[in-house]
Order: sequence, then structure tokens, then C-alpha cells
Amino acid sequence: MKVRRARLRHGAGPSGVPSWEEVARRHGDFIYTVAYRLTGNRHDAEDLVQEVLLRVQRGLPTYRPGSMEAWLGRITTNAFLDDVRRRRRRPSVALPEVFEVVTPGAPPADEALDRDGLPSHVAGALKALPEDYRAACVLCDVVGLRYEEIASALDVPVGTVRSRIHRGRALLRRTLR
Amino acid sequence: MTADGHGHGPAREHLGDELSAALDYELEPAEATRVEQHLDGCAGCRAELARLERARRTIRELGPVEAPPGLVDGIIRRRQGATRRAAALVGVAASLLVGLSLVAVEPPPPERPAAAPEPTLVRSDAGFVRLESTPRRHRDGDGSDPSFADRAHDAGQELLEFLTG
Repeated sequence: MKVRRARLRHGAGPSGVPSWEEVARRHGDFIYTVAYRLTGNRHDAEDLVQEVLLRVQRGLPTYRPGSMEAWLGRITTNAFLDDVRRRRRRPSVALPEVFEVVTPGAPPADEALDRDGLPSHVAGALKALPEDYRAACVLCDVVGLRYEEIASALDVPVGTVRSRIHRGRALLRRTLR
Repeated sequence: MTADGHGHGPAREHLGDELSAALDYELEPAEATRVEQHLDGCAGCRAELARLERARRTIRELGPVEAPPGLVDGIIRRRQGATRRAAALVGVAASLLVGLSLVAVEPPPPERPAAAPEPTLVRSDAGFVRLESTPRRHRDGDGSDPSFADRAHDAGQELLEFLTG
């Protein structure tokens, strides 16, 4: 079974450290793609892109030329997980959960607008994964990071990464059947 | 994990997350050998590997999504506006500081004992910060140049107009 990593590529690699605006324009679609896979809906993805670009502006002075997309994927995933943790700490924001309980399996309205041309149940299945599994799977299969890079991005052992990716895929294949 | 050397391990030795790691080429050589040996003799694990491969491919094939038009431009525009306003505020503060320090350091000219009025930042009702000072006494028609404090005051006013206008 031959599976070579297919990394998403948008634009040419920068020769030095690019300006914040260059990063935003050149990699905006990439950040949005990762944000959309993580959040599963347009509204949250747009908010996440805004937060990521703020973090990029703050972090750019310390960015060392390398894989810009790996760096951005890492920032996006951490911003997403930070937001998830913040929401968990505030149980008063229970509306989304209630909504999901009331309409189990109903695809979000904005998935009809998804330009993937793929069945919306795929995106829905990804969205149904626990956030930790989803984050590991997205970093692996959307951003294209190695397990070690994911472990460093999420600050967990490589064994944990391996287990989360496996459980994520195992859940996905059950949902997609 | 002691199924080494056996192609036909008992059911409890079936593979778990090694399968996903194998798909990602993330197995150490020794582990890869063991997994291959197990797969050779275990149809159940081969089927599971195929199902996991489909799930993995499904995520990868979701592909890139274009950001909604105007999203990135809007964020850039808002950030630039915020940065420009912050820079201009720093400019106002700097010109005020320079002006005030000159006033403080410079001894008043003997023929004009009154020191230049100190411009002060005042928050108006409308919420704008304005520079206010008592009428300037240097421009009393003697043809002398306005003091540095006056010029700093004028520059500050211009910046404030830029900020609020």
C-alpha cells in the first residue's frame, strides 16, 4: 500500500521572514482550511482565522524560516484547542451542545455551501470526533506533520499522538460506514 | 506485545494503533517487521488496515477550502487601522513629552518671564482626547519665532486631527 504524504501547498516558500500582511494574504486560504476542518463550520472558522492572524503578528518576530504551513497549522490548532478549553471552563455557554443534542446527525446548514464537492457527511463525521482526536488527525492528514512534530505542537508524548490519530480514524471509519 | 516470530498470533495479539502508524510510515524498523509478519497471517487485521486507510484517505481528500472573500482583507484592514492609530498616539505622546521637557529645561527668556503654557490632554464629553492650553503669549506681534513648545503643540493638534478625523 503506497501512501506518500501529500502536503497542501499554497504559494512559494518564503526566502526570509515575510511580513505579517504577506503571511495573511499568501496563507489565508491554508489557515482557513485548517480552521474549517477543526471547527466544522464557517462562522467559528472565520473567528479562528482572526485569532490565528493576531497570534501570527505577535509570533512573527520569533519565526525562523522553515515550513510556514507547519508553523501556521500548529498555531491554528493550539488556538482552536485553547478556545475549546475556554468554553469548557464556562459551562454557561451550553447552547451549542444543547443544539447538537436536539438535532443529532443533522448536518450544519453551512455544509451545503462547502465547495469541496464531497459528501457533507464526511465533514460531519470529522466534526463529530472528540477535539483532541480531531486536532491530531487534522495536523497529520490536513497539515501533513510527522508524529514528532504533532507531539511538539500539542505538547504530548509521541505515543499519545499515535493513539489519538488511530482512535480518530477508527471512529471515523465507523461513522462513515 | 509478544507475538514476535508468529504469523498466526492468537486473537488477543491483534494490532491496534500500529496499523495507523504503519499507514503514516511512523513505525520503527523492528516494529514494522513485526507488524508485517502479523498482517501476513491475519486477515482480520488486514481488513482493519484497509478500513483505516479509507478513513485516512477520506480526511486527506477533503482538500483545501477557499477563505470567504473579504475575510483576510478585512482582518488586514482592521489591524492596519489599529496599528496606525497606535503609532499616531505614540507620536502625539512623544511630541508632548519633548515639548514639555524643553519648556521645563529652558530657562524663560529674561524679557518674557511667563513660561509657555503647558498643553494638557483633556478628555472631552465626546470621548475624544484634545489638547488644551491657555492662549499662547509668545505670538504677541514681536516677530519672534514661535517656541518649540508651540510647534510641538501644533504638531500634536495635526496628529489628533488625523486620528479623530
